[in-house]
Amino acid sequence: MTITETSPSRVINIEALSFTSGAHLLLKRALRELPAGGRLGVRASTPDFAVHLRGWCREQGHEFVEGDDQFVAWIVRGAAAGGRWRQAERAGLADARENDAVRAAPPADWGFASRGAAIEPGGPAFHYALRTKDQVWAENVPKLYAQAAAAQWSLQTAINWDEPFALDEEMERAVAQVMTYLIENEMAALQVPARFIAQIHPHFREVLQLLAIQIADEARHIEVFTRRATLRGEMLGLSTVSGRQSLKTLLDEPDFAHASFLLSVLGEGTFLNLLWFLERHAPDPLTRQIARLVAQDEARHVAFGIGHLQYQLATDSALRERLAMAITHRHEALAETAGLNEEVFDALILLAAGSWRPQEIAAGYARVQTLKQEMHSGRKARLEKLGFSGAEAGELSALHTRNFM
Amino acid sequence: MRDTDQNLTSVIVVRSDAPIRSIADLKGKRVGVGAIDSPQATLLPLSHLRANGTKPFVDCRVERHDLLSGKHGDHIGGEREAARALMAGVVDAACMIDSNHLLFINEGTLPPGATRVLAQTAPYDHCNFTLLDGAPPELVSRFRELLLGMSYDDAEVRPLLDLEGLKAWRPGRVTGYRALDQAVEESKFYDDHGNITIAGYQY
Ligand SMILES: [Fe+2]
Ligand SMILES: [Fe+2]
Repeated sequence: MTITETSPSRVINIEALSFTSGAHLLLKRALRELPAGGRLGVRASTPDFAVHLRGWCREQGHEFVEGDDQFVAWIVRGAAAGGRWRQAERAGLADARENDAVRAAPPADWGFASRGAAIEPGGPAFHYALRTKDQVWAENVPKLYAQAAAAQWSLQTAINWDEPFALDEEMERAVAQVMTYLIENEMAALQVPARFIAQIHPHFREVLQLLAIQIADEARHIEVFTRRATLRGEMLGLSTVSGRQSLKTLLDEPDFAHASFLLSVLGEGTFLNLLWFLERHAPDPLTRQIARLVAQDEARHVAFGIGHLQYQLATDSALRERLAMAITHRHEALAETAGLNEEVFDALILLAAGSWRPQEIAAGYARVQTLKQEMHSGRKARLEKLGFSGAEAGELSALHTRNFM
Repeated sequence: MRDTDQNLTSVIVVRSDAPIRSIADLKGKRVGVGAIDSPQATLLPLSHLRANGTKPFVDCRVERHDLLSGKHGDHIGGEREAARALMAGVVDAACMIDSNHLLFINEGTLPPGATRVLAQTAPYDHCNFTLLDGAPPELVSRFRELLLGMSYDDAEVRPLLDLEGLKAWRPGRVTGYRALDQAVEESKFYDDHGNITIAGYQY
């Protein structure tokens, strides 16, 4: 490096700050103001400062020039300083609402870098299976995340556990049976998105955040249903082979779009009807309150599933056919199974009846029949939102698992 | 050669509270150095003592810290051991590269404020690529061209430069080795035929 008389120069007084207490911060700041070749005269009063400054300059790629009676030393700014920033590229923008904030296909080596950061090029490739915007994004993701974060409720404070109610032992057992069934479904709803989280490129952070909160929702649902089931000392009810078979097909689904479709659109969608049913017909105020809170969360889970698939379908209309195949395959895989737990059906009828009187049982039975129709028409409506025709939607909805989820 | 191999200095460090104010005060004291073949922590600092009137082994004791000898100083272990010996009171002075004094403070080997620099050598150069006689000139010049062409601004080569601890390659020079040449002579490291003859070398 040549030092010319015309090189700009500055001076800095570090005073008693040493290299063992952060002197380099002030030096870096002063050097940023100078071009390569610019000179910085350093005044400092700590012993050994020049010794340490010489080593620091060498390591930073600056030239160290012996001082005189006025200055401990002169630093000549090296050309390499700031090299790491020079080709750095913005990884989109932090706020997804800005134009081009979210890239269609972020590079694999951006890895964990925060969206909007300046990225030093290079580094290892992160192998994310879900690495394009089409594969994971939904227009409503940022909004859904904000809603989800704001709508988190506490098991302790949101539910009035002390509210008095009286249920006989058989009715309480029916509640416990429905809860037992709900818990295993919630467990599936927790693990299925969890499988995909580590496969999604972190550039799509809102998707990751939303799924993370969704998983936390499911964890809370598992807890609240367990507490309700055992509130009055009841044991949990029966878990059937067919229920577990049905849920395992969700966990085994390797494709994110198919899994969102089967779990969120069809499964959690169907669940919404069940939760609204419990909100209306459960025999005690606590169960009704719990069903209402859980349904609010589930509505978001469904909304993301639909939003994401709509986004992907906009550029890949062939996906629709693959989704139809996914229902058909699942239907075939489950064809030999018993369908919904008989104990659950009976418990739902009893809960909706509210008593053992024959005319109440008949009313409960009718309500459960209505529930099944509502579930079917709900699924049909959601399928139509994904662009299936009315006839296709009706056929596909009928193939949905009899286990509801 | 690497930019970071140019213009190093070595320092002789003492405990802050020691009544040692000059190199002359090291007479009768114990000086901790690095490995037997370390330019920066042994050969050059001892030569500096000699030039300033304190003869190593005669006027003062020399405590060697032979870690990974045979690497000609390309290892920090001996210097760190000398620094530890200084704080343990086993030696009265320790020799190291200028930047290692700061490193040893920052890593906790030397407590801040517990030591001070007693003396500093003139700048010298450290590693370089040395050619054997008869090296093929085309390959040599191609190699030189490739090294000098590496820019720290280039993302592809920057990790390599980071790995090797430099910002830029510099053309080699022999001017930075005069002090070492003299130090090696004084220590009688080699005979006239280049055989290692210094006492205690066993690597
Ligand atoms: Fe849930
Ligand atoms: Fe859910």
